Amino acid sequence: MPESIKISVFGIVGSPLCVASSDGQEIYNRLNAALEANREVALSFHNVTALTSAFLNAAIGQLYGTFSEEKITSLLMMENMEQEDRDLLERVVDNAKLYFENPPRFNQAIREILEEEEDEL
Amino acid sequence: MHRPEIPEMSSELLKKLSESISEIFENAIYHSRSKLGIFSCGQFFPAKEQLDFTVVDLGIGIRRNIKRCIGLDFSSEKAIIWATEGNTTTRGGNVPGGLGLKLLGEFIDLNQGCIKIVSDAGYWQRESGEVFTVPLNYRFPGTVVSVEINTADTFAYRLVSD
Repeated sequence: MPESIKISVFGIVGSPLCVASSDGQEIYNRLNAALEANREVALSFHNVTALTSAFLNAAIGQLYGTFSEEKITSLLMMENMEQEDRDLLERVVDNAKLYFENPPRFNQAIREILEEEEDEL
Repeated sequence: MHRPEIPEMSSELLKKLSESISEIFENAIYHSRSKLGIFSCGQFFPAKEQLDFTVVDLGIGIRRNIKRCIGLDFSSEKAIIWATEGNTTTRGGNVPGGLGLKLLGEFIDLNQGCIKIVSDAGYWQRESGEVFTVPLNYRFPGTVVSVEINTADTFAYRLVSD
């Protein structure tokens, strides 16, 4: 098994504020390459003080459209992540799994509710 | 966020505020397609211990963005409901979305603050978990997202899964 790779989110983004989806895309590009090569990755959030769902959707949520959940959980490990940021990541991952299950269906539920309400008016 | 003009808040609230404002800006940048920029302003009311912050774009508005990206044709206020309920996204492609405004609403409820959105000819407000909408007589050419933050809040924020 090749040695695992360590990726510093702070080092790549260059700021403790990890909020833009374009910065998340940079992280995704590195994770995608590592997972494609079946390398273990330790993703470090050391020095990160702010995270958004937009950033995590691009960086990590996007992986669920390319790799299986089993592969992601076996190869990707989070380090130095505060509990509230882990909670946010959990929401992002749940959302991503739901989205990639059936992207066209993703928007359907709330659409049906709103259309039913309009019919009742 | 650490300038002296920023009111005293718990470190948890300061982090959530910073993340929420960033999320609003990111939404405006990504979705509005504004060619005229994005504007913001804020004011602190010491006696009320309230910080107001507003982000305005002069882009296509939520209703037209939904229609253009996924073909759904809602009224302006229904379009804002659609964008804020979660499990919806206009992003398409490989990057999932649809969480930002939902999480913002959850945070504002816990903070006992308020969030108001005007987009196109729709007004939407969320306070204490209650959503209020009304159609407007005239359309605004873009989207305004305004949050009122209770700075006296000392709640330690934890998100819960759906």
